[in-house]
Amino acid sequence: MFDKISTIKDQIVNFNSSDSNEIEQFRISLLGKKGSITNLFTQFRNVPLDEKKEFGKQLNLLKNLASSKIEELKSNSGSNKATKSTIDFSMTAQPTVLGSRHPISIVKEQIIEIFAQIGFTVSEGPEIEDDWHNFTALNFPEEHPARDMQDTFFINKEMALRTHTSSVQVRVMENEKPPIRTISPGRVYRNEAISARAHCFFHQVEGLYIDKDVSFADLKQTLLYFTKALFGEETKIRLRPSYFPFTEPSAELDVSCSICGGKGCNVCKYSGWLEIMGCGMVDPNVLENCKIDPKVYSGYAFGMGIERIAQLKYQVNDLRLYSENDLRFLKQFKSEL
Amino acid sequence: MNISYDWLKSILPIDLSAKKAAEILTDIGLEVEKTSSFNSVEGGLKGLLIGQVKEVSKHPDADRLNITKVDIGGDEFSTIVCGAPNVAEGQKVVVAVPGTTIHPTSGKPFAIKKAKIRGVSSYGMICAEDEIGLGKEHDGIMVLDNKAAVGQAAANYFNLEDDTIFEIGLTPNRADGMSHYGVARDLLAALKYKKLVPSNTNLKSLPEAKKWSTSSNYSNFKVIVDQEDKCHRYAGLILENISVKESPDWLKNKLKAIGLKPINNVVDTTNFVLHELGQPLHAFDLAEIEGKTIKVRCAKKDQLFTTLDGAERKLHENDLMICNNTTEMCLAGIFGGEKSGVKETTKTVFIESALFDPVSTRKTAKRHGLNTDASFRFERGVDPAMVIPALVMAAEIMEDIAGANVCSQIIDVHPVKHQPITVSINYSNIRKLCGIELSNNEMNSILTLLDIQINKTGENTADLLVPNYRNDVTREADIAEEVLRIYGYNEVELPTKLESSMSFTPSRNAVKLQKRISDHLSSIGLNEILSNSLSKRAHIQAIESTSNLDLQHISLLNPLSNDTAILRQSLVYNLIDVIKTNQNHGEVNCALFEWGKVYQTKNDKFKEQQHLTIGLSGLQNDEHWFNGKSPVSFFQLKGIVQSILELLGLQNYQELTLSSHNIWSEGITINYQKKEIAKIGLLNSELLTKMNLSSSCYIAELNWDAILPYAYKTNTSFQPINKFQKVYRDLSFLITEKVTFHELTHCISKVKNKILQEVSLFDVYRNKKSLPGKKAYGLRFEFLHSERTLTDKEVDKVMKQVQEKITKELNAELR
Repeated sequence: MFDKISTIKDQIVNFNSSDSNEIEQFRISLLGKKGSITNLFTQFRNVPLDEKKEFGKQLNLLKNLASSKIEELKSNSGSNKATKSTIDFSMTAQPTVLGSRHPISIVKEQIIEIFAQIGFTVSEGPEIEDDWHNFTALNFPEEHPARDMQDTFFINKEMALRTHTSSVQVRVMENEKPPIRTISPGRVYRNEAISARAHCFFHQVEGLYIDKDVSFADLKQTLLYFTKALFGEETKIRLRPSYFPFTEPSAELDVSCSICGGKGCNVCKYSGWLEIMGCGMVDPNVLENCKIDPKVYSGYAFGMGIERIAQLKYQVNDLRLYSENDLRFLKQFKSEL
Repeated sequence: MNISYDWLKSILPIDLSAKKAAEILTDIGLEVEKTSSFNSVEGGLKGLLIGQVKEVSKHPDADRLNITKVDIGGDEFSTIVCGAPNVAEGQKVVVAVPGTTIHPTSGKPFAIKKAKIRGVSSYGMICAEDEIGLGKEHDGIMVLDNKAAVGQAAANYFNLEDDTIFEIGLTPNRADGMSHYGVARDLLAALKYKKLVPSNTNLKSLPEAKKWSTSSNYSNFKVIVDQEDKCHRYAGLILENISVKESPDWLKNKLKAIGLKPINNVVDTTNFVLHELGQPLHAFDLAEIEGKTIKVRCAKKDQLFTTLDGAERKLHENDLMICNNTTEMCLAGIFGGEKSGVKETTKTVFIESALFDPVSTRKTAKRHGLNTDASFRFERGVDPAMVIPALVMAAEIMEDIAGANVCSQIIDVHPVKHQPITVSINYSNIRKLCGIELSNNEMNSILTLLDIQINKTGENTADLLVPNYRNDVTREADIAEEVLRIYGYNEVELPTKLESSMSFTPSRNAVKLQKRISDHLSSIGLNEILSNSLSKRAHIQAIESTSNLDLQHISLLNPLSNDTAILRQSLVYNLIDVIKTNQNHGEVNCALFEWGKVYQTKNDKFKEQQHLTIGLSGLQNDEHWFNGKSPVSFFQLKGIVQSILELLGLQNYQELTLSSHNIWSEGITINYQKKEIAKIGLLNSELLTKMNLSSSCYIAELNWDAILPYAYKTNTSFQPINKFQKVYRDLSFLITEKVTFHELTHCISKVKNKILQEVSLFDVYRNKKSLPGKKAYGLRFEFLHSERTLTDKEVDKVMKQVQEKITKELNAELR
């Protein structure tokens, strides 16, 4: 019986034709009702018990060989194109499941990359921070109304959850010598009731440049470069005087509304401008607190909320969506980078 | 803070659109966050027209109604049914045509519609005073003077123009902008610099103290200031013959425009002056000032005091109080007392105009949870120069509207005198900091516009005297901001080249590695999540009962809620919650990962560690014709974790069995150099039940901070490609269930040779009937020699040794 298998095997290997009729005849001789392979299957019950397993295995292999040979010959025979294949190529593909990055991570990485191109490194610092790094060194006087600007979560008398990534500025300045050119992304906390417009935690990116002769004009140039890179070449910026204890002069940066192009729409509340960050020249008191001589060095700092940037880029209108982690939300960002 | 543009223009006479004014205010740092319009008459009479009654005839079916024909300037007269007894031909009247919404003096606004009144169609309404919010008169329609033009808008006839209200987002440094006067002053400087007003434009002048005829009744009235550090100045005036009543319209409208509720003519006056000049005032009923003495002193500890809102407050010994001879009357600069305020019966008042210390005021206000218009200003610092003008202004208004007469001279206790702030500057420094080319002269002209006096001290230096209302301007950098904000932040020209110092970032930094892994995970189908670090107290126990006990959770002193009261110690709980929520939404197949910190404390030291968690639940993908459906598995997750370690170049890590744990029921831990770097396993079913998750979950938690030091420690160095043929051998071993794959490979590794490259598991076979308690592992052995083609003989030799070793040591049989 095994001999028959090897004989048929040889037949199959040696057969060749490009004529579709001949191929069909060959198929019938092997796999038709009275074909030689079909025949072997009917004889299977006569095979001795201890050989059955091996015989079955070989017979199946033989049948597969015959089928694939015939398939191959058919597909090569030019005259029979119309019936060449029965494959439905419109069937759905074998799944290659793509995942997604969180929009906050996507935007964070975009910001890091844009600043990396002009020489900014990345620094990180602790979220559980002391009063010195989060407030005092940043020139927030005790009992000053400026402290009301940020509602703080306290852990004990000394320690709190940082309310901004500006605390990392102080740590970098304490530990490094100018020139310093760094950005610090990270999570921050505010004791605010959770709503569509406020959350108890969010993410910021802080930027700092300390060197000799750094000016407000340099700050403006860097921010114009950044906003164009992030929102597009057409973007315009506007600076408004503002107040932060750790910068002087201080400014708020607006970009032209990327939705309406400055004409006025719902998102920019018909002003044509969108507020995206605070910035300014590092206050001389802060430099002194970090043992940097303000007579020799100057610098600029800026800080922005990543959620805010993502909101503007993707028109996400509810802050809570970022931390709800609904897959129907997250999967919308598959093709962002 | 609300600023009425009409009010502002009453101080600064300018002809500038509200829009332009708002733009300039924003440009100089008094950001107009919102503008809205205000009309003293609700609805502003919008849509109402002046008409003339041309015909009046009786309604056939109603005695009291008339049918009128009214000319409202259109092609035809309008037919209006009118019920007023005084309607007559020839009258000029106010007409509300269909579609107009009218705002009655009392009651809700309503829209006028065409209506049929007793069978007659009526096209509108002839209005009475109270129907359109112009008064309370109800007895008949309003009859206007004959000069009123037919068809004219009623708003024009009554001269009702909308006022524009600016909502200014005042930053804490701008104490000078806390009043209409202050905003006008800053706006004027900018307008003059931009040459948008004639150079001789000035602010309305401030009232000055006069000699009043005094009454001897009050000659022994005394003010004693005990706490000079907390009260820098205390001034006042006594007014008698006051009649406390409703304020006149002009005053009520001014207050309403900025969102304040009028109360009575005395209180309204003090509020008006506060918003006009920024100086908080307080009016006391003189009858309550026992002993005709005002004492400015600190409270007695724990003394109870009832404030104007009826709340009883326990005082602190550092709370500054305005007292009479015996008792407290007022929380200084913050809030009045219930008893001492102005009442309807009040006849004589003492008006206080004082200067309280910002820090002390702030502390007291915070202690009592109060934030009033007065405390808001004292905390930021009030202009010492306004104390007397404010007092005089209030007196003049009260004389005018409350029939009062001043009956004392100004009482003025002034222990702390404020000198102008001195700042030395170097013009070049300012130019350098701002990055602008502005000559000393140009800078001086800006400073002069800001009322800053300049005393030149050198070629490039000067000593400046800054007025006290700019208490935030004390240093050269502050002067730079002043110069820059008037010059215009947006006028600063950009450098043409980017100046940057050199910086160096190692290419394999943590941020990059994290990004690489995230991109890898998302490309193999996982979705990144971000969850709150603030977590539930309920999550503490499971972790602390199984992990190192001296590392404890961190609680917040002032949490928002119980659900966000502690800092998380593991990312796993959040992950389970996210899986659960998504499954509730019908997203049953979850493949998620999260980077985040976990927080613990030990001996008052706080520890933050970066973790990466990965969670799988449901199916690997939806059922599909090609590969059916395969549920997520432990080995899928293990593969993912190993791919991460491979990406990071970590080799030779050890796998250990996970000991029983409250989060994981079973699984493995991965150790590297004897430190645990990851856990992979099936979640504890008890925990799943507790958290209401019905499907099984595989979760891995990687300790990124423990992994990072070892990541990419070895540099890739190229090895010549081995050209020789690999040789494979397959063997199947029948072993008891207890024996692990790890034990097999460990056993094989003891066979010394140089050609066995890899052993892989290609088949697992079990048959409960024929092979109970056993399993067969099909192993594939890969052989390769670095210098030549292998012979069967040498491969067979190693295979024989392997076979012997395994059968002997693990009690295995060859299958």
